[in-house]
Amino acid sequence: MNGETKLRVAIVGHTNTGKTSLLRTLTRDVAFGEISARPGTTRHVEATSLMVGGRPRVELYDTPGLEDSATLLALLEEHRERGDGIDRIRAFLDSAAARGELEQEAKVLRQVLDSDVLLYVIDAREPMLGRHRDELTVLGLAARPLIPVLNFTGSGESREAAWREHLARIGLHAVVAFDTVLFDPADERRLYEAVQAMLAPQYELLQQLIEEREAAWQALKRSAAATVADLLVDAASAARRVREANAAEMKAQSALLQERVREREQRCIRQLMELFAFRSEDVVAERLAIEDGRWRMDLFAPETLRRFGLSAGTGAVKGAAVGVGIDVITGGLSLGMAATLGATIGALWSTVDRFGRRLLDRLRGYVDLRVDENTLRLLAARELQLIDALLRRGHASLSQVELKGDAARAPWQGADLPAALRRARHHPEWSTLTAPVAPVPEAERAAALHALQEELLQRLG
Amino acid sequence: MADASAQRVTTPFQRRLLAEAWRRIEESGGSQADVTHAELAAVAQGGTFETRVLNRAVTLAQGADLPRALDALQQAMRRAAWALVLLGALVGAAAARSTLNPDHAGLVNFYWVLVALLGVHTLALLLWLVSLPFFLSGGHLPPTPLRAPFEALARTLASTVAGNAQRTAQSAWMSVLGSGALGRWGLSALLHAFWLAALGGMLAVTLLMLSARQFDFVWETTILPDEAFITLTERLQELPARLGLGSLDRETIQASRRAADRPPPPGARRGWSALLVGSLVAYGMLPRAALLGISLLMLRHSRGRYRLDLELPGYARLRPRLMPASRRIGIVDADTGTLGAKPGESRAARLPIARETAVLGIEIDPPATGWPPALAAGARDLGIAADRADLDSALQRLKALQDHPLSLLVVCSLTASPDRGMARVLRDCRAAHHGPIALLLTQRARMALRLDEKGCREREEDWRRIAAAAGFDAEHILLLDLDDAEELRRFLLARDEGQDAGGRE
Repeated sequence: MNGETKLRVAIVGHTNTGKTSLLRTLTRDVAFGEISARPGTTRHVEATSLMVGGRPRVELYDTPGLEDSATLLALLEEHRERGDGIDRIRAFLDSAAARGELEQEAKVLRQVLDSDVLLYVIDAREPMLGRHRDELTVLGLAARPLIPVLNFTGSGESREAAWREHLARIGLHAVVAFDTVLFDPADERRLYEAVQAMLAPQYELLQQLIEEREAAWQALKRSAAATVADLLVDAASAARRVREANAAEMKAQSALLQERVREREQRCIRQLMELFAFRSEDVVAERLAIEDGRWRMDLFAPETLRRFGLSAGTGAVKGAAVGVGIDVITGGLSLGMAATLGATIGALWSTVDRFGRRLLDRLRGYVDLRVDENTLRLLAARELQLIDALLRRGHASLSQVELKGDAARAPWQGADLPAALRRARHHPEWSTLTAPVAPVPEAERAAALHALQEELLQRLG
Repeated sequence: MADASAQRVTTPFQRRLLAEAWRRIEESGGSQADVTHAELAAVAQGGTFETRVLNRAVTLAQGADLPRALDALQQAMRRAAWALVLLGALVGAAAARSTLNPDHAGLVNFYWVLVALLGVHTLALLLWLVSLPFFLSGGHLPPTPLRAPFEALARTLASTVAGNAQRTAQSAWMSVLGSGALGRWGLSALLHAFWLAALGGMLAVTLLMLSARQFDFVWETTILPDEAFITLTERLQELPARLGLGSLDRETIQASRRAADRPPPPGARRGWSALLVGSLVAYGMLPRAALLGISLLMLRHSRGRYRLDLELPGYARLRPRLMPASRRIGIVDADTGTLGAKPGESRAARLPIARETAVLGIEIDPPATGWPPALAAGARDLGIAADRADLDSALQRLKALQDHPLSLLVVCSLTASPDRGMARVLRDCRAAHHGPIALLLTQRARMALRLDEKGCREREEDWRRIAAAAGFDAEHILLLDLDDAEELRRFLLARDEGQDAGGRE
């Protein structure tokens, strides 16, 4: 690594094209700058830097929007005799106009001259207009590598193809589509690759940036899957022991179990949102029918289950609430299962021990209340959907209907739950829902959690 | 205080335990600590994600005095282990005492004594070895009976500490120390230490008894051939002989067979005693000591290999904060505030299009209902200006029409940004035309697709503001979506009936 070479990138464009949004996405800094649909929200040049190898190496400059490029161009033309484009810009910057009404434009141009590469942000929903041509002409005078970035390409109104054609006709071919609303890591990669192609001396730096971003993205996916796996293990292993004969107690306890699972799901949503800190929560929440950090449809409403093609299960028996079932004794660890575990003394011992205790409990009239299998499937389906939306590739493949959770199919439908979840069923001590402070056999629980995580990752694709 | 606790956290393993405890505390919502300072410090110190998580957690844990709790726990576990060792020694001593009962001194069956002293130990050892494959594969050991004392210890400890955080922390530590490889080898070390102590106790009492009492060791059999015992004894003493404890020759062994007519030779006593002691050491203490050593080594190894599970939500959520993708530099070219302007308030409109009208579109797509809009019978079409040149030529044509009494209708899209460039266009239109002028803002539906309710409201306000600044009358600004045929039809109907033709539905 040759010391501290830094790359300076200026984000420029017409007002209101999403320059600050692009910066927020690239920096994963959701609070950077100020964003609104009004023009001229950013009125200063604000800088931030991307960390590469833990050090700030790529500086990004957010500039005010170019608003009055026609006048600007006319003024620059006045300085025609001053020499080349850069000289003309300098002359303009020294003039009175640069401190008057065109102050913002002057800020942009000052920054442009001080940068290695320009990202010219375009709202792809707009047609190519005279002002765009004026802006590109002005920026062309600065003689900096310029990469047009098409924003809002995921919108139905996008005119991406027309833009590419127009830009090609004025010699701009390295056009990158980067939708700041529907984030796609591949777009981000292409953006950096375009910069890489234009700035050969910074190839290594950008390559490192690309690789670090890719690794971070994979880590993000894995953590998201682990977060949901954690929820599922907690819900699957949760059990509450009640006397079968006591209907009132059964009702109270199963309602309590329901409430615990609801709270746990909310925690999972919160964790996922925190994990994807850089994404706009509002956008995702609105599309996914999440309100105040919880899904609008109750987890234990039979209607919700039906929407995912699941039946309400065995819950209603003997006063237990929806989504809560009674664990019959044969559902426990059977001797056959112990044999498959490698019928050694240890396994046999714990089997006999467990089985014996359960038998004893059963004889005393106790049963275990548990979360229904279909509720587990529903939990998996909803949270996978959320991750999907958070990770979303910027394509129109996810229609509004799917996002509302109507057409989605729950995982493991009509099939057994994955082995890890079935294992969790036999370990009430793994659940943080029913035993929050007792020592949890951490390593064993983690093994099941990671097995489930892999399964979920496959479903995320 | 802080320095003292900082000193206590020395090993990476302890740091990880603190981090794990802190994760549990945070997940159970038990921490109101201000994390900002610790996180900034962790980011400043740099390093891998795990390093940062550890630095953050150790700082926070020290604030909550957790290192002391960890210290207390480790001491308690050490005390419990020593108590177990002491118990083992006592049990062993008692077993030896009851086996080599001084009341029955005299003729003693050597093999009877040997089985009484080493039998249970050997059986337990075999059991342990048989379950070893399962044990190593990470099966669900320890079984409940062995977990029970562990959990009891956890409960006892939990009841001794004050504060929820400490309780949660201890439970977290018990979880880590009592499960996985750490739990397996820790338990295994305890088990072997117990047996080693028991055998040690046995050895001590045996030596004491052998010193102070006289035992005539004999062997006897009813149905087995004598030769079997002689060979067995010879084999048995091979290992102790290497330790210098076993020097019985064939004759002495033969002579020690129990017989009614003669006592065993007096010279055999030392030999048999040496074999007994040698067997205790070679078959009891040595294997147990070796296994204890291995277990302790493996425990140490497991501690070294113990890593935080950074994919768990409790840690993963910290990644954006501890491994920031960017660092802000700040404002480098500040706003001087010369362009500040506040949006004004105005209401909808009546168009001055009773007379002949010229229509000019600015940077819009041709509306779905056609261009020019069917608002006035004899509308003059000035076209849609896409750039400065278009606008200039349109305004030139407007000038040429100036002798007619004419009103100008400028059509703009709400999807466009009402910026200074647009304000200039409106100003230029106003300047170029001396008759009545009106602004029609179309594509409200499209705007609504892009902006939320607040955004739409602001956008409309901003348009009214720049139009007003350009010299448009507030009541001559009309919102009418030309893409919507139904809206246009209703507008025309309302106007023809001479009613109020406010554009807002």
